[in-house]
Amino acid sequence: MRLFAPSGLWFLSLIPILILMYILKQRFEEREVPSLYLWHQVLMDTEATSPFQKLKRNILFLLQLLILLLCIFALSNPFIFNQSNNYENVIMVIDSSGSMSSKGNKDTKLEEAKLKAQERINSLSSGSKITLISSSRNSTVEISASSDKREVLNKLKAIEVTNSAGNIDDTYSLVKAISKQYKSYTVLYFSDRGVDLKDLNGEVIYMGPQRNNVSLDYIAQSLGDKGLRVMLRVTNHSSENTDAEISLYGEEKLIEVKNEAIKSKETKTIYFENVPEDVKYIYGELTQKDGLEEDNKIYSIVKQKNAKKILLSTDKNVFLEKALAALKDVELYKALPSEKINEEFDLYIYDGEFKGQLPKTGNILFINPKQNNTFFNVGGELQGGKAIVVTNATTKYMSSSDFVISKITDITTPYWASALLKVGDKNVSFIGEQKGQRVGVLGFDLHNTDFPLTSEFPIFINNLVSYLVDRDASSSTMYNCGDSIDIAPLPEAEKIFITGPDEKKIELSSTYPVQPYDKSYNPGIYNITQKIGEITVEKIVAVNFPVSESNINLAPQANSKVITNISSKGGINVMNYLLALALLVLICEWIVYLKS
Amino acid sequence: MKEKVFDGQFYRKLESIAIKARMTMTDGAAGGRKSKAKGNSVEFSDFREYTPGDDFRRIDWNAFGRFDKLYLKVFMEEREALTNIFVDCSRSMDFGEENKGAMALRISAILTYLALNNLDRVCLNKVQGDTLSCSSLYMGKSSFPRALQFLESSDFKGSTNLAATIKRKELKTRGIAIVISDFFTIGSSIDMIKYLSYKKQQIILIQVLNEEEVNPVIGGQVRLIDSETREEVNLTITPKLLKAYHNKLKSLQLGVSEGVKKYGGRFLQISTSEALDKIVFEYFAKEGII
Repeated sequence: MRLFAPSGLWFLSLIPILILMYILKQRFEEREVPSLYLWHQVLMDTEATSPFQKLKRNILFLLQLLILLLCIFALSNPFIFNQSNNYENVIMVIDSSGSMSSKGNKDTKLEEAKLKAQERINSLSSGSKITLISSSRNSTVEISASSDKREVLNKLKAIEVTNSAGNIDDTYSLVKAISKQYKSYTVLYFSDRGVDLKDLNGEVIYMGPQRNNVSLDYIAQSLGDKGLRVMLRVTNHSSENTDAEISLYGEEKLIEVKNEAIKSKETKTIYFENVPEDVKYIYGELTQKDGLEEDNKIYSIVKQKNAKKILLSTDKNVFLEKALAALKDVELYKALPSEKINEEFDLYIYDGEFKGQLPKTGNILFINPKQNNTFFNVGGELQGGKAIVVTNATTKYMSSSDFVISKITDITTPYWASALLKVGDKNVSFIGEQKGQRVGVLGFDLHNTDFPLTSEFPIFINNLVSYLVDRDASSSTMYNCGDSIDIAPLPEAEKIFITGPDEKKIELSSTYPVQPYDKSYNPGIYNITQKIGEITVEKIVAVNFPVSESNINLAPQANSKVITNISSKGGINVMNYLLALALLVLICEWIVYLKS
Repeated sequence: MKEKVFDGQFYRKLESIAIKARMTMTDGAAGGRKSKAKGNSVEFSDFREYTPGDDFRRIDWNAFGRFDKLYLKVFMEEREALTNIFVDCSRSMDFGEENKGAMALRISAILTYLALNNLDRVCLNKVQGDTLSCSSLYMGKSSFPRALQFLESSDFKGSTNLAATIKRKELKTRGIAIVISDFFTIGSSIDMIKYLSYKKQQIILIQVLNEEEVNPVIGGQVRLIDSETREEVNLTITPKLLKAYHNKLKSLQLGVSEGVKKYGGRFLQISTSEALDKIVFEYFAKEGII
């Protein structure tokens, strides 16, 4: 037993005061009687009949003294340790991976684990140093060696389910490192799967019970003749056979429902034919509820037909054609400079001379322009030299470029443009935006330089075209929960927002470099919005529950000390019992007082 | 004694008591102190047959002439009874607004007066501590003022051991022994009764108690101080304790009363709050003292 607030014992000084008060209170009314003869005899008689007479006379005082002592003792916060749990340094590891979202006894397993952890924390002595670790995709030290229980509890409450894949065994090295600083410690794992404790001193609190689960593991679609062909993979993780009803939705519209009998531990692949392709995304859903709800839906983004159209107007430029052909998500059209262009394109590339009017919409890339136009003026031909790359979003990954340009065209750089390449102090390449049109200029013939021969050339063209046609902000569209969603911002993006399945719009910092979004805890469709002035560029990605977490019935490992019962507490806080006892004594005192 | 014991009121009372008491005596209810012994006196008592050895001068010749038998005339031998009055003069008697001591003295005075009226000899004894102060023998009504003087000079102090002190009194003749006290004494009252009885005394015990002693009105935390010994006792008076006190008092009275009855004596308890005439005519008469 230990007193956590021994300063409370200072109140013991109240006891002499109580006694003093009693003595003062006991000022007898002095009364002279003719003789004490009779009184003595009476006293002798009564004392003979009840030996506790003296005690009885002081019973009120004794009871008050007892109440006071109990209260003081309660104030000093006594704590009785259980012999086996007499430790002070506790490392708690909470499994917050996807499988912990499955249903426990009443709530999700994670919530129940948090409750049990809370009970443990409350039962610890107040001087205990508690380290709290949440383990999902990454192990996060929520709080380290804190003896402030309240703060620890707050941190504990703040642990959210991540739905991400994670192996709690990965925390071993972290826990081992933390435990090294303590002479004695205990590790408490709260997990739904067996934990290999290895040489750690601790116990695993297993979060049961085992429940049936059927999961959708994989979705893929390919374009067929009459629409999409969708493939879904279903696994029954239960020990019983089951009938699964699988629905396929196109956005929020039900497309088809299929019933499949799935044996225990079986994985089945189901195909849906002729799925309409004019939807942004599709998802499969298991209608039946089971132990883990999160893996009953699986999302996939249908490739959108938004390939940018690029017109290349050139006599012949193999370097440019090759570099543009490497861009998979654009449609490249070619025309001769003499041809008249009627169609509208997203980007016009004029290599050398061109005929006719410049387009009013769409962006333009000029390569070695020969005549003046509405954007800039062109002068004569100048002697070239070694090219210098100016730092810009478009010249990313080009810092080590080393090339020369033999001849350059003298082009005045307009005020709205920013330089990309220089020869001496002359701008030979620049980009900018004028009247809603993005304009890029290369003031030299690609045949007069060794630039196309360097490895940086396709990068430069890729960057340049990306700038000029607003290509997709990010490449991948499929993620698992807890994965970082890469945000590839457009160079001019002013604001970037991400909206998850919970409809919450979160603004991401648009300062370069943009941090990947790592709070993709809920499976569903995430909408990434980039704002460039009035224009908004949208992109959707699908976040699915990790397959590895769907098996929620992993039995605890044999070599881990598993505790499923939380009743073995660190100790008992006696304070409340003492106060209750004091109240009881108070009632007794009242009864005694009334009786006397 | 602060107040005057024998004030004008007392004298008036005494007078009326004396007149009435005499009246009751002439009624023949009680009579004077006639001794049981038959002796030489003028008052005829009885006849009895002559037995050898009798004084033949006392033979009634007239009766012999009439009955032809020898009869003796027996006369009442009138003896003056010696009344000893013992007054407890301990500190405990000088207590209360209605003073126990004063009451004891007044009762002694009345009894003295009645005794002197009855031509008895009276000896007053004041018991104080271990000492016994005796007065001279009073005889005749004329000696009453002296008796009063003796009583008035009483001083209540010290404690009392009634039994031991009274035993010192030489009682050579038969008589009446009246003890006036609260009987809260160290020694056993029974010892005293036995002694007096042995000395052929007709015993009358008068217990004088204050109302506060009969029905103490106290409660809570009290420190009781013994007026005799200054001894202190801290008590928490509970109803139970008071009940025990009453029981104790009753058993004490009963003990003394039973003890004295066994030896043909009388016991009466008087409260200071009662009127003198009531005491005399009710209690004394009831007990056959007058």
